Amino acid sequence: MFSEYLEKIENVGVYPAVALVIFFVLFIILLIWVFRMDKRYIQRMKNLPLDKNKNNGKSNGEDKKGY
Amino acid sequence: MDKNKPAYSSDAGKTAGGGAAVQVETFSYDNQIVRSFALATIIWGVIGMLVGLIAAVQLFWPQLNLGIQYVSFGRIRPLHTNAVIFAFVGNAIFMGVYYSLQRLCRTRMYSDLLGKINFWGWQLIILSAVITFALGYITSKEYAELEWPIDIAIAVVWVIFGINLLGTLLKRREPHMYVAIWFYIATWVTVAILHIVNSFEIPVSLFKSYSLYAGVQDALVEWWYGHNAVAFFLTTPYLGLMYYFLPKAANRPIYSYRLSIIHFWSLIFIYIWAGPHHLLYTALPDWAQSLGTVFSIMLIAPSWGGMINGLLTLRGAWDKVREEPVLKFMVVAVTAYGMATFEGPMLALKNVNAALHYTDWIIAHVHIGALGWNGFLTFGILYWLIPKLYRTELFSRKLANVHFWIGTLGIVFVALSLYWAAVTQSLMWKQFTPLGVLQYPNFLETVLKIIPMYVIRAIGASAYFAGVIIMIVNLVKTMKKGHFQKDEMAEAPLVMHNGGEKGHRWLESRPVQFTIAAAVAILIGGIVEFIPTFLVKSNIPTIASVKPLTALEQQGRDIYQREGCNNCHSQMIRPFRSETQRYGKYSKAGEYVYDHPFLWGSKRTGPDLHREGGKYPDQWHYYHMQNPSSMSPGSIMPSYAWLYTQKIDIGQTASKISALRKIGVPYVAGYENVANEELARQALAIQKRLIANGIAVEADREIIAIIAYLQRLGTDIKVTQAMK
Repeated sequence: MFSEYLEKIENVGVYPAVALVIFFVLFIILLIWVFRMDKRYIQRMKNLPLDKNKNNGKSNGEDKKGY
Repeated sequence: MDKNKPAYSSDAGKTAGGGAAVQVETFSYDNQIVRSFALATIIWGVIGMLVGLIAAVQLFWPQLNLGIQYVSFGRIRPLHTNAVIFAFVGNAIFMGVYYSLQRLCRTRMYSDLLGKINFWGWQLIILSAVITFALGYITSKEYAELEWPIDIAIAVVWVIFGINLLGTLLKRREPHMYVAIWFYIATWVTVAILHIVNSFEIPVSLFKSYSLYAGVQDALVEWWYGHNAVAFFLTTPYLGLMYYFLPKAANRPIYSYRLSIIHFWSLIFIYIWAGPHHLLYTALPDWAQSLGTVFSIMLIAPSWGGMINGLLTLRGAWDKVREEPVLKFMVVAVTAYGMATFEGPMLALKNVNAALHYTDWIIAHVHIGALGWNGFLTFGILYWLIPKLYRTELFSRKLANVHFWIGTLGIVFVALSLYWAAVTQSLMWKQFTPLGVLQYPNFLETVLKIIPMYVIRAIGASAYFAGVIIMIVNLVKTMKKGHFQKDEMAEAPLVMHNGGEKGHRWLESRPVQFTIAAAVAILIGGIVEFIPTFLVKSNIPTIASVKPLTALEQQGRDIYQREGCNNCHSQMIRPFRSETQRYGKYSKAGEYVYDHPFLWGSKRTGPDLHREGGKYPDQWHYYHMQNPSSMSPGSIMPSYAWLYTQKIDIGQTASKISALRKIGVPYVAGYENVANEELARQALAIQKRLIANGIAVEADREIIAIIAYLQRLGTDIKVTQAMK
């Protein structure tokens, strides 16, 4: 079965460590992204389920109260 | 599909917000499919919970099965878990997704027809589960117990749902995808992968198959699946529903959209790694166990991020929670989610796990999740949604409040009684006398001690169930009061894709790329977890004396599976003094190499059976299976009277042997041709021994096969010792 293919990989124990590093790097990038996001855009996305911006595909001026 | 065509309204081109002219399209939302899934949620919810209640009562009153094999505990326990997970929660997921997706995308679903196939296909799958479980057609892998033809049907229906989901996303009128939709996408991708990988099995007949994987490898795949079924069937879709319905019910936006992005990506990335925490102290390699523990602890952060996001949405609006039953249900649901996701990682600590694994604590833990998080969120959504669909107010808020309190009390009684039972029994299992022998060597003594707790649990479950009945009355009255609106008219401006977006905002406007990103996130963890699975062969020291089962023993094992013995009996002795003294030598990975599937079990309602072979004479098993309390006074094991009249199905012996050989069990060439002769010889030998002890029995009865299997269990390793 496919087990034989992976059995041949050397130093396979390093994989979890590599994945952990990948995760932390992505996590930091994610944090940076998130905190640099446009506030108006966030307001619009937050209010999407509430139909407050029903007639406008882009952000409107009604929901700028901010939470 | 006609309804999907954009019908330009007469006032197309009207100005929005006083700005430039925007072309507005009118269309309708499909409420019919939402109502269908809502009704299915309620009906299957009642059935699933009722079966659970019956199973709970059988635990202190085993005669409740009335001697009927189709409703004995081992068969209805998987029926209960599957009905609650896939029928009740599954239909609720579809209900919520089909409702919220249309609104969040401002479009009708991609295809009404695919929706209908999704609905009826899913109901047929559930119905076939009810029938096949009762008949004992079962794979014995927890939460994946359905046999192979039904597995294929699940895959087909799931793909149809996926096409409908993605199709809707592609024709949406809203440029970006709200956070709820990300959770729906991750759910779809991951469940598809989990289901397919875990379901590899070799068919013997239409309703019998053997898992492609064996022993430790099978256990790893199964709990990678089982743990993530909890994650991606009971958690992520419900988080999506929380992100949509909680703001709707509270009429205020989610607390932090930024937190939701972080919550989403970290949750789906980390969850997939934690599966091995179901196998601590088992024969699984140690480093794989540690991996499961570390990632389980890490999981607290994103899980609580989600809970905090939900609860803080209500800040400044707690006065509403006091008055609005919908919000009450949702607050308890989110709180239960927080409790369960703290409890889970704590149970994944090895020292805690050593004490509480195999006890009722695990049952309490899943019920905090199922009754609190899934149940209460579903009820909250139903109380909000049904009046909306019927364009009326809820019939009675008072009744909803009664439901809320009786349900909450029900959860408290179920959880506390089981916690109490778990701690009591665990301490008794591990108690030694000053002389260094087990204080309670008789397992049954530890069971009898907690029977009162089982009674209280059943009372709690009844209260919870009564609440559901009250809800049904309330919702039916609401439906009668209002008028169902099949197609809900809506209008939205034509979609405008913004160019030049970066980062997550870019991703949020591209469903296909988002799906791929989510798949990559879960695959990283999945692949890393699978490397130990693939490598497991090299990690298992082979034991020369471990041999495949004989034909009769294999038949016995199939009966053991059919009767669901593994629901109450483990076959995995952990390396603790309290366990080796009680059961015998601890279990080695090499002992399971021919176990397709593994039958380690996850709960000890009865004692472990891994070293059962040779412990008692044949006649003990004969009398015990016929009337357990004759051998063990007070036993809560049901009688298996039908094993004494039903004949062993020898018609399948040859195909079973051939199938097992194909997946790696080293039966000698041609064994399948002589298997039935050998089976008859072994059966006769057992019959002879029984007759010598005054028991008149035919050699072709199922009881003979199951005695053969039980007497073989764990004995291979004794052969090695004898040889030494």
